[in-house]
Amino acid sequence: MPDGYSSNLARCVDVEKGRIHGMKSHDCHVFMETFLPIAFSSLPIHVLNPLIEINHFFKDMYSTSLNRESLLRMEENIPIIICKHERIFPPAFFDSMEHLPIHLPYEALLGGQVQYRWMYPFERW
Amino acid sequence: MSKPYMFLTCLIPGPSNLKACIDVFLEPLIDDLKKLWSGVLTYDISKRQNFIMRVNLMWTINDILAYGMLPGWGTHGKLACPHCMEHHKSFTLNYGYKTCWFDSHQRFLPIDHPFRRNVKAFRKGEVETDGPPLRLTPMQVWRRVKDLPKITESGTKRIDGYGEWHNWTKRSIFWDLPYWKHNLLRHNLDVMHTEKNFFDNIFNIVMNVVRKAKDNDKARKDLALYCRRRDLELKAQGNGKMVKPKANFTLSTTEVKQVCC
Repeated sequence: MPDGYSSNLARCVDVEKGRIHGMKSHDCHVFMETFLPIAFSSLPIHVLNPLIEINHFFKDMYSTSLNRESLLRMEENIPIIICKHERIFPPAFFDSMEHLPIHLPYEALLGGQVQYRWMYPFERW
Repeated sequence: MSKPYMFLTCLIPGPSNLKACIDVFLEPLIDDLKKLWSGVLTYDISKRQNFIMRVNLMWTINDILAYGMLPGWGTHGKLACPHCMEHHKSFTLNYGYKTCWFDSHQRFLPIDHPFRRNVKAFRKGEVETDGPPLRLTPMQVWRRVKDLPKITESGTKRIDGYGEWHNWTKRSIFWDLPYWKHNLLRHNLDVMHTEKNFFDNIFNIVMNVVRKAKDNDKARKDLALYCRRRDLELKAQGNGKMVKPKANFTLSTTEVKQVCC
């Protein structure tokens, strides 16, 4: 991994108790983008695949060059991905945050790359 | 976005959350923006001459809680989604008492998608025939909010029907900007927080984090009520206690330890 890409994730891990805690927003981002398919690889394949699909969705969303066709494709795909999650997880899992990704491609179509529209630069201060 | 291009325009004193009253503190800022929209004389140091500078507020960047404060559409309860507005399909869980968006995403699928007719995997026995909610143009939103009360120093007044058929708390001060009703994307959903909360939910439920995973006994009772998934329902034991069967989406203790290594 390139220097400065992520903070030291090992500090969040408690190996003896088998816990990971105290992850910051960017740690979650790095985990979601890179480690999720590896870390959860022992899940059955029909559970793992929708998780990897959502991981790819967010990864595409963060791309520094977005084009119209790919955004329209993402807009078609995201309901299918969330429906696949609905087949696996219990209803209590679906709070408002599980619903919002549905609208993200539309906002990206209007507003452009997420790098100019997210809160990372402000949360640093 | 680096330090020289950042500009602190206003600092709002605490300690309590302002909620909708934030408009009172934003008024000087909006006044400045209005003046800047009509143009102010500015000196260009490279050309050594004056020019008329005009400034336009493109959008606001805020987390979901501030989303409830700035545009005046509350982000609590069933009507929390600022895009779907009153065309939502969320409901309150019977045992968990939480607002839930389960089964409200099939309507975004194409009309002939097999998921829409699936009566087993989603909410039991229901076929989805509705289309996606309408997207309002900025003008349509303006027509809805133009008669709502503005916030003054005297405080907020509850608008009739709040939480029932709308979630409007006020007419936001941003509508005073002359170009705001032509602006397609006025407030951004923050991708960073959406992803973080999404990830937290997945991570907690898969790693089965104690007290944080949304897979408790109440969730299983709701599951029995809304879905047809016998293998996940609570099972009665001989001694009167209920036992929660292990779900296929959680990792076992040894697997969790493997993840940590």
